[in-house]
Amino acid sequence: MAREGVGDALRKVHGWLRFGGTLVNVQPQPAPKSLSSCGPSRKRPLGRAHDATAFHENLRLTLHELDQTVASGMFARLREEEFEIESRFETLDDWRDFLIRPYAGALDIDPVTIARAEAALGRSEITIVATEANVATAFRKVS
Amino acid sequence: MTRIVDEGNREFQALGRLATLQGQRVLDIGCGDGRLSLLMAEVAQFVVGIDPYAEAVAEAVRRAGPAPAAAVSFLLGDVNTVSEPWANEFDVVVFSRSL
Repeated sequence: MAREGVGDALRKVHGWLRFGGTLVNVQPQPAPKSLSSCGPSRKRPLGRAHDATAFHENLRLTLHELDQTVASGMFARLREEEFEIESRFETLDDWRDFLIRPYAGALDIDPVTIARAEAALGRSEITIVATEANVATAFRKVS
Repeated sequence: MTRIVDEGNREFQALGRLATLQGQRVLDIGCGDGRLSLLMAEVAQFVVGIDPYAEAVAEAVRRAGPAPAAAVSFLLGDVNTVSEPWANEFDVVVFSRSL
């Protein structure tokens, strides 16, 4: 989401939730993503992908907006859960879309890893897998 | 289209530990191909999924099947463009990597 829309989105969603309802924000974490090539018989590590500066700035601003909803009495923060998610890319187009994330800037991956990934995708039975840490945080509507 | 794979349903399980989904009215913002919406619809009263990407919404509708349960529906759009008259409509709202 574009940064200027986050506060508006949270206010709009506050109106859609019943009193006492739960808002859950699932957010990728700023840790490097592990890249692997995955074939029928085995998974092979390729390297790591690092988020762009824009991602870190967007994450900081999003967390700030969420904090503001708590400070203003719209929501109370509850608990959080960590988990990993895998994204799979079966074509070069899918892979290249992943490299340039909307609103978060291009991922930083060394050229050797990119070349390895693209060579792997040239073989029909291979997919590229990116493993990413996520945190889900729950909030309760309190006003 | 990026395909998220969560073979152990770890995300769904994490959501289940954070919010009661059973019998609830759920909005999944950034639903993508409907992976999480369809899992939640198995226990929720109903789930509405929203995503700004037409290709993703089409895939979500396809995955829901030719006769989708009344418990799940998908809309093209994002929070700031949706004009549905929802007020206190949902028990749970999930931003799926979309905020």
